Amino acid sequence: MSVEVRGLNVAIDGRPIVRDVDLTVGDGERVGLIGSSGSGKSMIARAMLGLLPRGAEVSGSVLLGGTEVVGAAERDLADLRGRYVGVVFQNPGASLNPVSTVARQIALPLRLHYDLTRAEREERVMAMLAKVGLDESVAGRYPHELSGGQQQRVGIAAALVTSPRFIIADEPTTALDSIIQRQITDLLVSLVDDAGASMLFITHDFSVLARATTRCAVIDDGRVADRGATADLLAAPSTPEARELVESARRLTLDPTLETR
Amino acid sequence: MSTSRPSALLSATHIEKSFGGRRVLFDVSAAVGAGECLAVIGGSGSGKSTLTRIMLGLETRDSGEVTYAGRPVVPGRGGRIPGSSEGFRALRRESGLVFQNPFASLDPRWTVARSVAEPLVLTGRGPDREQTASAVCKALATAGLDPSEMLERRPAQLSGGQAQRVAIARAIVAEPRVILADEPMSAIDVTARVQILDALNAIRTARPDMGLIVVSHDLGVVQHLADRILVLHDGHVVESGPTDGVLGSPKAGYTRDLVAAASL
Amino acid sequence: MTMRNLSESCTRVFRAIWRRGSGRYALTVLGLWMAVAVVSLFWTPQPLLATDGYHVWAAPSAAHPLGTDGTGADVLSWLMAGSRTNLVIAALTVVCSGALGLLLVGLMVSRRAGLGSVTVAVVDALISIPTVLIALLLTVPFGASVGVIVGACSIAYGLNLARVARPAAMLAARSDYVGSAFAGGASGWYAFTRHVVPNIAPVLAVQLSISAGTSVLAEAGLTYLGVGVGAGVPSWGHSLATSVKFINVFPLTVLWPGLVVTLAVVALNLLGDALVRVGEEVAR
Repeated sequence: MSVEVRGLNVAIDGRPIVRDVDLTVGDGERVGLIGSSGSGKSMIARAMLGLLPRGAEVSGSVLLGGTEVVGAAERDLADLRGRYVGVVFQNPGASLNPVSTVARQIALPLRLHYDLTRAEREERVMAMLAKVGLDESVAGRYPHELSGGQQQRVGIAAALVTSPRFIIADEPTTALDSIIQRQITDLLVSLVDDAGASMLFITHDFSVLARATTRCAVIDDGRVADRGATADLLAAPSTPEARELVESARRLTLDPTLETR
Repeated sequence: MSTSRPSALLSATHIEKSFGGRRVLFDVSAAVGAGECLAVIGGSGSGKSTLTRIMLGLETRDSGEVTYAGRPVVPGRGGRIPGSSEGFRALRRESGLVFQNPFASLDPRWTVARSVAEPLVLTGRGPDREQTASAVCKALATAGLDPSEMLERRPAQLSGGQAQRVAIARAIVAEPRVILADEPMSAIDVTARVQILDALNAIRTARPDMGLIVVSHDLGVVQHLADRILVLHDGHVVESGPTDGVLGSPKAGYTRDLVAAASL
Repeated sequence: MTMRNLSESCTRVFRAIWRRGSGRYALTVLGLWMAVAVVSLFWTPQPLLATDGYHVWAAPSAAHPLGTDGTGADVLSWLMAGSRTNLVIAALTVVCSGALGLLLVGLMVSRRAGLGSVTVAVVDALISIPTVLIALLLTVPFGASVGVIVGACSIAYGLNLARVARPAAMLAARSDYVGSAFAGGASGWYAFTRHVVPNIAPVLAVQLSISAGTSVLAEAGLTYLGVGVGAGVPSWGHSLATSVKFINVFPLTVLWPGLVVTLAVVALNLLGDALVRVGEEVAR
């Protein structure tokens, strides 16, 4: 599903958070949003879902596969969110319900949007668990019994179980260990590509972005400060904002040619 | 594998620890010398925080020994000061801490000036106001912050990178001989992480005799900081040695995974 | 914190409350209350003990602006004198329940795990006893007096305060900043007074202002039941209790003390609300 954002502005209590953002995610494409915290990148994602906080004023246009989200009725948005758009959140520990089993949480979007029998649902849930690399025995467990990486796998399973055509991943690896970060990024990329879906991947880390996306936009103070192919931006950032992010990522990643201390 | 050397400022040998029947550390030894930076690397649940907290006397151990400047570190009952050894009390006086989440480690109702000055107050050096003020300004400047801008702010008015540098300033203000930084960069933005890295390198330059222990899950963030690296996995030391050696030719499979994860 | 800092932050909080309409009402009513209490020490329209046997249950007149009660005493004079008693009760309740609450919170967040959980259990058990019952029990040895009301209110509201403030106190007590203070050699007392108490100050301020309001209601209720202020002691509850039996015949004499009690309680509750908002502002 292709996504088109045109002239998006979001202001909260009169303070502009997102300013005149244009963004396109083509069918089957993985696009990144990168910026430091408070740059407004998450707010762009929330505007796409129509999930803005109270007191937010939105203008511009967000077309999700031809459906206009800005100003749409809550009913239509709810259907759009579960059926065609999946969201993976930053903190899996907080985005999973602590008193509900893994299987029930993954099945929830199915119950809300599809009329399936219990057996069919169970089958879909088990297939999804296998896809995200979790054992069947995890199905009956509660989130607190899982490690951070396992929790995020559950989060991915819940986001992808309805086979959405567009996935928003909002800093899905930030709360995880470095090895797990890489596993989760690779898992998300392979699942999205296998399904032929498109993805918007939000992060503040260029080294994660490089693995997850082909194109990206650098967000600074609510504006698009730079955009282009991720590899090009990483190799030769042209704007100061992009340069700072790339420079930070370079200093925090291992490079065999770099001298260590 | 013994990492304790005679010159070590703070060393832990054969440490074992269990929490509620679950063993988290198996015969682990680690040491940091004066002027040295040791990075303790591992994933969540590897025991890296527990090990370093035991080294600083912040956690009790089941068995093993901790020595600070040649004196045994023995906490009192329940890890408290009453009944503790002299080495323990010296370590408490002469150590500084930096936590993962800067906003949780600064009292939200205190100004930066008051938070940074707290270790001086606790060690009985608070009453001399002029000396305190100049020590606070010096510590903030060392951590890469402008004191005149920061002193009267409260944590809510700071960015993540600024707040963590304030925490670093607080850790060094009482001129400790050893500092523990537990995942100092995990909770903040990539761009701010570089600021923290610079601040940690700056305090090493400012205090060349100080020992620094940095805990992290990411090899990348310690490559320009650590002299030696200790890799923990599931409570066992899987690799330990000079930074160049561990990064350049990792021997354990787990270390190789870490190196891969920290590369572009 | 130095005295200068303290007075500065008090001024700041006062200004922030004044900026809101409800806060302005609360401060005005409280100011009036205190002023009347002070004035009543020196002057009331009629002497308290002056009774006018020819004008019992009199309607308002120039001599008796709010009328007289069943003994012919001036209602306004008694209400003015009563404001003194109620102010003393409210102030003492705030101080005593605050002290008890802080003591209990201190025990609850104590690093000795056993002490904390025992205190929590004891507070949870005691909190189920109604204020009236505590007051009745206290009158057995002490008789009906202002002290009994203050005692009963302080125990009940102190327990409540401890329970309400506990989560915020636990959060502060288990935080990294307290951890680092302990690592630096801080005592439990230091951590409690410098870190925990300032962090629960907003909760304390709100709860205490509500407690002060509830103490006015409790005084009225307990005095009506005969376990409140002693006979002959002026208080709003006393004024209510003496006239409430004749509410069908002389509704006005009940209206005045009722109105005063309502105004005061609403003011203290609004003050509590304003303090919540101010606390949120300061935290930001």
